[in-house]
Amino acid sequence: MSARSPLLTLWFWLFVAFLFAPLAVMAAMGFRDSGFVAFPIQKWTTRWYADALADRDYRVALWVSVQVAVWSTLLSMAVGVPTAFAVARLRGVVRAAAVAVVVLPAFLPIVVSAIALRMFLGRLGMEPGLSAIAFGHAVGSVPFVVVMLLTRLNAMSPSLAEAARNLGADEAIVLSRIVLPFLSPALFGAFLFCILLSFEDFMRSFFLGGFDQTFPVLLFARLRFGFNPGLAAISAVVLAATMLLGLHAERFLRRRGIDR
Amino acid sequence: MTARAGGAPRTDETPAIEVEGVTKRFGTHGALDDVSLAVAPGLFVTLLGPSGCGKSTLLRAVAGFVIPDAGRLRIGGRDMTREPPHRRPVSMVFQDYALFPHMTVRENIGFGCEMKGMSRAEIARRCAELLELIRLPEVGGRLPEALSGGQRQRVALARALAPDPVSLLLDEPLGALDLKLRLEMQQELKAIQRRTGKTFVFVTHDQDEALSMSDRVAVMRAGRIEQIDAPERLYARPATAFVAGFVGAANMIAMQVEETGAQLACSPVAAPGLRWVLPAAAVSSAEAPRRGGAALMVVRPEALRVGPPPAEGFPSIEAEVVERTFFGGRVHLRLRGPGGMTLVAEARPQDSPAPGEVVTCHALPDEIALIAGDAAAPVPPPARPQT
Amino acid sequence: MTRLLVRARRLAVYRTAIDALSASPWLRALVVAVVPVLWVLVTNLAPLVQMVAISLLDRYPLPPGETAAWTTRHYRAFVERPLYLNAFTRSFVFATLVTALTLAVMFPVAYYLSKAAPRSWRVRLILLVVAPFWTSEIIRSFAWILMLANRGAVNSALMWLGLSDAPVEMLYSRFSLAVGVIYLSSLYMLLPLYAALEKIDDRLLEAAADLGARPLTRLRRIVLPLARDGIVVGCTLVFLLAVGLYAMPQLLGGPGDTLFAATIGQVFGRAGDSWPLGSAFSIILILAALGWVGLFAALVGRGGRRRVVR
Repeated sequence: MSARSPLLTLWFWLFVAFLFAPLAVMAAMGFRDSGFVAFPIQKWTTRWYADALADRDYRVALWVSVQVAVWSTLLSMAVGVPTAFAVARLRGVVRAAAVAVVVLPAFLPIVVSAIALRMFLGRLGMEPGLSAIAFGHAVGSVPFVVVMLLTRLNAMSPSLAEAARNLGADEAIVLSRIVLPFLSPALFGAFLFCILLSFEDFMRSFFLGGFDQTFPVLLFARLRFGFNPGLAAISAVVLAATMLLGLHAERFLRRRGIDR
Repeated sequence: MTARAGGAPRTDETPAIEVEGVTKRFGTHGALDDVSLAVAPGLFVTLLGPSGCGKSTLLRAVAGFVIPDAGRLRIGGRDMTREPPHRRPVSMVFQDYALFPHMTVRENIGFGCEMKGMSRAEIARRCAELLELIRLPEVGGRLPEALSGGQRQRVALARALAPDPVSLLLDEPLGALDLKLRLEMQQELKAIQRRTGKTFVFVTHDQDEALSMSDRVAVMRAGRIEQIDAPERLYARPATAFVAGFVGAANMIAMQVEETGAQLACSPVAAPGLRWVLPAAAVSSAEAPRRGGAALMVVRPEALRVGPPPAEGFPSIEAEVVERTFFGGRVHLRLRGPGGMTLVAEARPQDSPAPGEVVTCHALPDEIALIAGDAAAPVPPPARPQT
Repeated sequence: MTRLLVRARRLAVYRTAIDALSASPWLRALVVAVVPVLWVLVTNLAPLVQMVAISLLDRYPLPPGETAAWTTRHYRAFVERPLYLNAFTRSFVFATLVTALTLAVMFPVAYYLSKAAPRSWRVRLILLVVAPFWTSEIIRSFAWILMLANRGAVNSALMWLGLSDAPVEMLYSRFSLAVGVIYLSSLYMLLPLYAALEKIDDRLLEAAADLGARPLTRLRRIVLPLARDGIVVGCTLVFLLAVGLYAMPQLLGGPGDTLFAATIGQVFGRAGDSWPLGSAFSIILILAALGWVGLFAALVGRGGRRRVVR
């Protein structure tokens, strides 16, 4: 299809522009020296960025987001790793069914799964708040952790563990010296992935949070109230941070995923 | 070499590995059916058979990855039937080598020693010694992915030898190599076995590999051992029709036994007019021939000679040359005998007949094996290796 | 660590435990399966089961000491009230259209990445395209507000270029919402498409070209059938995402265009007997969405298999 390549190439770069233009516009808006959000930008200032970083509400919300991300990630890994091991032992229809049940939350409309979880946690006596959000995020992340680890586990020859046992390693040593090191790229990737998933999540944080607002929830509330360049500034900062972390996670997964 | 496992006393008569009546079923499919085998220390023993014959299952049972439903298993004289794999003094070499990809060659080789609780210094010394043995002293710091196929193979061997096991179990270890490397590694493997004096139990479906490397070959079929013997004897004196057909090429002629005693007289089923006399020593099966019973005469192609027999009463036959195939130093002749019998003979190119000629062929009585009784029953052709 | 474990073997307790583990596959399975089974029951299944139960209750939550009667009236309310039915239909039509649009936009992108782009660039280009997706829905919605507002970047550019005199109304409409949703969901389309297209052997296309197939014929007869799995997975993911959107429609959508997910959210936000009603709506949404997606997968997927067999 060499004749169509220029068109394809053009389309691709148009798509890249479509992806990045809004983000660039947002970052630029953060520099507008005015109380209103509007184009064109005639006067520039760094005051919005300085203000945004100093804003106490943002800092509190970001801190909540970070705490939620850490706890939910730890929980997701604690559940996801054994789940992947358990599923990896299954074969055939049973395995397909187990995978289906495990990844179910990823296929439900998030509104529904968030609300269902809120009602259920309420019944268990867990109040909306930081721990409820963390728990909810873990529910959303576990399917991804399991799928990522399973992919790596499938690439692991069963004879590796057998070789280790044959050479005198018991179950505990096989796990600590063979299986976990082999999984480590996927473990690390899944870890970063969970942090990002939790950090960007709005829906579960919105429905499961009480007075604890994560950053996206705070931003949502502010946006419904009105716009100013400060919102663009803080968004751009968070965007840059998550993008860097995300790139790092992706690179890591891809680079280490190729060798085996 | 005396590898003393757990300090259990043992004399040289104690088999390194002793399998007694081991049976294993997977679902309804019987993988091992009452298998018994004793491997004397220092021998190179090969389990040979088509895929699905149970040879790998037997090896994995010795290693402890398969727990038998019945039977006993002794390693170095100690009962290990129920022992978990990590406490058995045997080391396995896997077909895909199973080198730990995240450890260096040295860490791989040292793993078994580490598990035995050896000190760092001892482990380092042992690694150096083994790297020397496999003639790869310079690769110790590399990761397995940086090695060639043959190098990986050798490292896998060194890793298995490192903890000084009673026996090495090799599960088709040369299967992944190309032909040239494979022949090279056969030599190397045999040399290392001789140098270390270790007992090797080797699994393969390749008869050439089995015949050229082993001290003893056990031919397996459908979960049973059909025959266990030295390679030459296995070739010359097959005990069953399956062994005759699986190990080397063979003319197999269905016979009817007419007279028994010091001399056996028998006729080919396809040509009742012929009558051949063989010494009783020609019988290679466990069962003795009965008068009027069926038997199978096995003549290797190179033992079927073109030309009149040197003496009266030697088995001989008239046959027409159907096809002549040239192989350099020798030719293969496809012959059609009486009653539609198809025979294959090997001859030297200079004195071989042309297609269409009718020739007399004979075989010397001591190059003939006669399989009598049930063992002579024709077997379905061996299943093609699946992998 | 390993040395410690090796030493630990001298302890009888440790040996017994490890031996029991290696001896019994069932015990191993039990140890491995406890956490996953509990988790799946508590987080994946129990909340849904509870939701189904609540949807069939007259009232919930109940004051202490009272019991509720079973009823199907909340499901009937869905059919009887045009307000709800309209939002539901609107959601499904909208999500279906957006899915189709996303497929149309992303197929050439995936094709470029998997077939046309220089091999050595591919990983870098994919990273480039994936990068923006690590940002929350809210930030991305806001970015599009800045783009499409009357005094936003697009209008400002249009007027500066002299293409229009007055701002074009784009924000708070189905158009702006569709753009936002495509922006949000395109990665979920791209990755499965890319995975499927990458597996197609380039020599197949060359062979087809040798046999005289024109580019469009090659696309229709070779690329599309072989990329079918990727298309099904991509469309499924995008549709499920689009049909459950809650925040973005409130930020980018028009005032009259309430979607069903927002309706559910609002119902739950109300006081009184709203939980059973919201639960009923949630169940309807799940069943309808999975049914719709399943139908699509069955139609497209089965068509493919039949063609392969023949």
